[in-house]
Amino acid sequence: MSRPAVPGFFRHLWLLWGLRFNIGLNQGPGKSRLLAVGSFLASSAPGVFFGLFFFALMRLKPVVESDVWPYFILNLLCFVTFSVWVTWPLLSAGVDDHSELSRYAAFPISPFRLLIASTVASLFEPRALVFYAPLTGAALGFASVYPLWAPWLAVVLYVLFALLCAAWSRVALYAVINVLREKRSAEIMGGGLLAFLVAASFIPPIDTSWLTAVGEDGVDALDMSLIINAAVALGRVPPGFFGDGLGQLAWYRPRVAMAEALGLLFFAAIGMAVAYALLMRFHRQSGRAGPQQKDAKDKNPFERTRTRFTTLVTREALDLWRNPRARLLASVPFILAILLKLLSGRDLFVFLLGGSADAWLMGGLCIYGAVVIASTFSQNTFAYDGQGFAAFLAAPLDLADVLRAKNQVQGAAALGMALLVAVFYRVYFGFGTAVDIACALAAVVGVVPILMAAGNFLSLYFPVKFHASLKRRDKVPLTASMLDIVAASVGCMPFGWALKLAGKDGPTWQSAVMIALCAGLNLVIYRGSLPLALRLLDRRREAILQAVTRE
Amino acid sequence: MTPSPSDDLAVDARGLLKRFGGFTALNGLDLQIPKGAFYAYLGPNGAGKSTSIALLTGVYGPDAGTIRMLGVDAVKKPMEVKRRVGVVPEELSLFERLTGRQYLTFCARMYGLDGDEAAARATELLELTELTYKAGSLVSEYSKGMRRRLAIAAALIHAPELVLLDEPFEGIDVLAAGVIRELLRELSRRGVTLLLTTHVLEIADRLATHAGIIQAGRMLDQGPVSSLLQRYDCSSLEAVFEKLIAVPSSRNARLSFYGEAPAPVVPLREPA
Repeated sequence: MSRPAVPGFFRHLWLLWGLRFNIGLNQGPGKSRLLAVGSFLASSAPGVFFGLFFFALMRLKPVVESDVWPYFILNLLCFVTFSVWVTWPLLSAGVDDHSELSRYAAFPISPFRLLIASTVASLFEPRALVFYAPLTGAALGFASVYPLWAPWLAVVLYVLFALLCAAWSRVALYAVINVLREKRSAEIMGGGLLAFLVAASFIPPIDTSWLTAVGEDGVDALDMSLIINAAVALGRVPPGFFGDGLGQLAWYRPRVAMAEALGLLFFAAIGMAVAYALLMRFHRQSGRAGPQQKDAKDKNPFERTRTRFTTLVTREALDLWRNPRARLLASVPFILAILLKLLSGRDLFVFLLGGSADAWLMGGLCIYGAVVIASTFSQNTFAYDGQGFAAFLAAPLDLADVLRAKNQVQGAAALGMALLVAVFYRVYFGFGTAVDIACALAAVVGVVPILMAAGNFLSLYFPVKFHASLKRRDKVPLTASMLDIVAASVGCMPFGWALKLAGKDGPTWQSAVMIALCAGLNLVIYRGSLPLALRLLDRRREAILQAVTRE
Repeated sequence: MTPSPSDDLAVDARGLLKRFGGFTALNGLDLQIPKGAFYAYLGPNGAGKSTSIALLTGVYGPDAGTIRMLGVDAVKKPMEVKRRVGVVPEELSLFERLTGRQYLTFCARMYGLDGDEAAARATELLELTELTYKAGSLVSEYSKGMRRRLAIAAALIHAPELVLLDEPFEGIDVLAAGVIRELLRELSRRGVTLLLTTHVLEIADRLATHAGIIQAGRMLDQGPVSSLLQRYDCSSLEAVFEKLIAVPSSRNARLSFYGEAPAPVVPLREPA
């Protein structure tokens, strides 16, 4: 029997892109492709705004007439785009299910080609349209003002830059899933965080004295040598090769631009090679858990629980503690805090917000820490239970107790997380008054009940199954995500409002009391909504069971 | 040129070794499946059946040993083998957000079939697996049995010469099992070599022409079913299985927390 030839690289690329496209189109509730297209357009709409903004910025007269600003803006945007793209897997705790090699094991496609083709195909996702929009707008604005020696080379540079970002994003993603899959992932991550903290303490923070100068004497006081040095430095790291390459084309230096293109290709290839090695490592280790011996740490906390409810609470706590995604999310606020210090971000906030800066920053980090834990797990609270939910239904227990236990554990974890972040901020930065801490923690106490209340209803109306294995990317419906973001925003409002009232003088105990009172109100809202959620849970139990036990 | 013995074999794996950390999943496994055979691959849970299938399909590479499939070295030329082999894995990682028809067409295109041919085969297979009425529904809306049938259809879409089926009867109802059973019979009649792992020994007894029984990553015995029955003086594969594998006895099982056992209210049926 004659068999068709194995598809070539571009055919595979086209097929994998088509696969993503079709999956995206089928993502809407029911079969509404219109809704899916609408969601896609809505989620990529900010990209249009960013793109147009930077396009216009590059065409502003002061920028056009400057020898420094266009290059600074371009190189900075290259760096920021690269950083966001690479850290996105960490920030979103997202796992790309196209990296699950066993899905494609039957097809005649090699793992390396699969990696390359799916990496290239991933460049056409909605988030790509948003993340690349500022740089694309700036590059087009630049090209519209300065005639380029060879526009095609500019396109080549752009494509190679995108490949560089995609390749190193894969490195980050596969490094994360490799670590999370390890039995001792908590220890590895804790050690990594500590090492990062120690390493960061040796790096001098960025000089922000210019901020003070500009604040006191206006823009004219700005020392342009700082901007020039920054532009040059950003142009010398691989992501900056694109911005610098465009500049070289504008200066009619095609050879230098060509060298920058080769540099981008070289570093992208290194990224792909590292990513491939990490992916294969992850893949090879996903077969068996290891020797079938009793784990020395196999303690049984259920031996000592006193009531059925505390047994449920203990189970939820264990489940959350052992969830690799929770561990990953828990590390993010600390990493952000360290980066904030390295980039002298606090100085910028002090410049902009005066005495409120620490309250805003500490509160922001605490709320972020609490929200990622509370929101991620409460908006789909039965998602990880799988067949366990059937066991709950079969057991002689009130299902309401299961939901209460989940709320208690997730709420407590979020509060604990916020407390840790607040202490870390106070110790690490050496700033933050008792009032700042009180405001931050009161804000979290206010946000968590709203997230829990919203999460309960979202879990009941939009139930889906999640996989704890990290091999799959589990997506909450876009509508549910949006509603949860709205809930988090509502929960944060008293905090923002109180600090806005406090102005640059900084918050007072009055601000903290104001936030705490609102938090009390939010608690009342949660308590009021709980009976409704429990009644709804009873009515929706079969729909939830069906959703969380599907294959 | 004189054909080598392995030219008559659809699968010829020798001395397969596979370790995961400190755990040895396959320990010098030999597996020989003649072309056109319906091979029942039997063993208790954790014996290494799924790992061997993963090695045959190239999901993992062996730590030692050789694998020839359809006369081709599967380790050196995996793409050549994959073009000619169909796989139904135990864990069905289907793309949930594609419809059944989209899924089958995607699979066909991945094997290099052109669009029209892919669509035509998808339609035929949907009909054969009795999924036509669900062809436009998302895979996420399929029942377990439907998923199994869809996975089998996907494994057949490129008309493979050898099909590896890992537990295709697991967790499905009698009706779905019937559809799958008939499909396998039809494939066998058409000369397709089939490797089937299953815990339902009755199905293996009814369908298989050859069988192999493994335990702890080693092949205990394999060959034509008639030879195995004769060798162990048994009337069924289940009996051969029980002879080769040390089946734990539950006759003296006691549940202490039930207290002393009274006489049963309803007398139990004695096993046949």
